[in-house]
Amino acid sequence: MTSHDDHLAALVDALRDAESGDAAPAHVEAAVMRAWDASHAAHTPARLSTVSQFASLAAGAVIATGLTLLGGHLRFATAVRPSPAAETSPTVILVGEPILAGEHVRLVRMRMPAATLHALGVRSTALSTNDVDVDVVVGEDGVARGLTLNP
Amino acid sequence: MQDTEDRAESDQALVERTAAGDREAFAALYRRHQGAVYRFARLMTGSPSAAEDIVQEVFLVLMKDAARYETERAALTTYLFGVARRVTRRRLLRERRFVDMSAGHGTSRWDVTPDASAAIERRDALQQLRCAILSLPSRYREVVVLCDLQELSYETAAASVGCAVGTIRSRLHRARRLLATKVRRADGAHGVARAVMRCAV
Repeated sequence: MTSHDDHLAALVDALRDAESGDAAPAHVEAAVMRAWDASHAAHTPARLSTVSQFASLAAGAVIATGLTLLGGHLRFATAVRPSPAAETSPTVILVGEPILAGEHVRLVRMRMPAATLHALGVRSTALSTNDVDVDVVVGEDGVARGLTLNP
Repeated sequence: MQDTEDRAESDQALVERTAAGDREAFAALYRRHQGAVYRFARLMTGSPSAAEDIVQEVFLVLMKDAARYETERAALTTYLFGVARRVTRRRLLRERRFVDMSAGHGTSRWDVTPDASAAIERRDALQQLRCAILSLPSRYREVVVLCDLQELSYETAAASVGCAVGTIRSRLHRARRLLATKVRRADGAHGVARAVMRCAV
């Protein structure tokens, strides 16, 4: 073994000693245990009795029907009476994968020609001007999750 | 007291209780193994914050897979390092960059050495070694971290990495040679810098 090897071995030993007591901060444990609680709270309905399951199913059907009717009503209202405020308020367009729970996202603001968005298939009456401000929600993998148009 | 009880119970028993939905068993497993996973991830990424994310992800995987984990096939340490390795590699591939190690990483027992000059030199030397480890290709870096710094056996490291024991041996040999060269170069540059500083003083 050369003196360089000895030197490296001593350094590695020193680094191992220096790092031996290091651990993840307490907030990481808190986050992990929160995830445990959330996961196991979500599984609780699986243990409900048959009667409870049937009641849940019926309630779900009622809610689904209600939401469907409400959605139809909203679509009708939007089509018939477009609000003037909607012309100027930001328009949110979801693209790509949905944002996962707990996913870290970045918000990038940029200005681009409206024609660029037209070319991407984004059509909006708000895109009448030449340049448009766009807030892009970017996911952890660098792919856009959503756009907000600020006419 | 709680810690003593945690140690008394085997990983296998704790995993079985975790699979059955026992929160305390999962917390005990976390407390027992998080340090090793955190140190592995930090040495592999050079970033304390990335290491925290990786620890979180590894234990979320354990939480979901505890029922499917087969204790006879591999020790829990092997399983956790295997998951940590996959999560770390995915993260490094995604980011394709290494993060500065200086932030929040400087606390060590060397800081309390009475001889301030020697302490600074030792701290610098360790920092150089961390940087040299970070600059190794990941297949070499992981064997140095697992075998030399986490002191895993070649067999356990091979099971974690998913390769033959002979591959671990040859990678470790190659990794140490690369590391020695890098440390020697860094020492040379550092020696010149120190001499310049002395001249300046």
